[in-house]
Amino acid sequence: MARKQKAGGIVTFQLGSALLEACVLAVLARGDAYGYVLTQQVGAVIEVSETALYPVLRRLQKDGALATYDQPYQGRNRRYYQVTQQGRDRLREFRAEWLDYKKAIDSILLEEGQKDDQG
Amino acid sequence: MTRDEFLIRLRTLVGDLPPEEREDVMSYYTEYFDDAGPENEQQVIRQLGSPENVAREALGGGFRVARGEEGERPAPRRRGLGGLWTAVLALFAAPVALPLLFAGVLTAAAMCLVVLCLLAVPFIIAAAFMASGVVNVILSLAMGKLGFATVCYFFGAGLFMAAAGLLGLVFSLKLLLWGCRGAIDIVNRLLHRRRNLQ
Repeated sequence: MARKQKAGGIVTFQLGSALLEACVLAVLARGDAYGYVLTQQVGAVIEVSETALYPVLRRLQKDGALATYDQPYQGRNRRYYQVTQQGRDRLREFRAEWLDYKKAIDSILLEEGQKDDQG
Repeated sequence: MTRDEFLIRLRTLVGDLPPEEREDVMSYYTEYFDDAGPENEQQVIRQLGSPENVAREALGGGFRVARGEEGERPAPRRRGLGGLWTAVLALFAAPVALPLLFAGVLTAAAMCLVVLCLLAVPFIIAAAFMASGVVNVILSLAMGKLGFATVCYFFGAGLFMAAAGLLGLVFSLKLLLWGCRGAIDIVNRLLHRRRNLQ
């Protein structure tokens, strides 16, 4: 699962794979990145387990949303991930779905003064 | 655990993957360690959890939430075609298959009958014993002319046979019931196996 325990805290919301895909696409849309750095960037904002990114990257690649290229670095290869045009379209869809989803959750979660509210 | 031990263990765990996928996983995580740098080696191992953890996510896609998405590949379509194929083949095979099936059923029925007869034998023997025993007892009472000893002998022998026969009857009835239950069990198991295959 794409979550890990916060030290000393309670993890209540879990990031589903679709949302993680969206976040990965969004981060890569801002600039190509390689696995380690991408993991750091995503992990800085969201609680995500480091092993969760590989399957997401692989799936996005298989679906044609990401392309990869290698760049030599210090005598070895570094694989960069890059968003394709298809990936950008997908990201646009994700963003629209997120706004709907966010609105729906807000309407339930943040709504005050429900019928059964005794307070 | 060192980074090399980690990666060697990981390579073993993903060994069943097709070579291209396996090399993909290995190069991703080898690069991951390289990019983290030797100073972060233990932190990376802690974050990744274990080679088993990495392999599980890499093999399964890892997301319990998304299993619905993963398994979406079109198996139903293939199953539909398979059903049609089976029907067509069955139709063509029918002229030979049906008589064979009939013969097979008859043979099976005959075998069951033989087994049941075999099981019935002790039953019949026991019944015969009991019957002759009872007859002896009755006849002995009519042998008064031949002397008291004779009457006693045949009476006693008759009682003995009747008792032995009764005992044999009980046992053979149990044997018969056991045989029938066994036969039903085998038939059920055969039916079950066919249902499982389907």
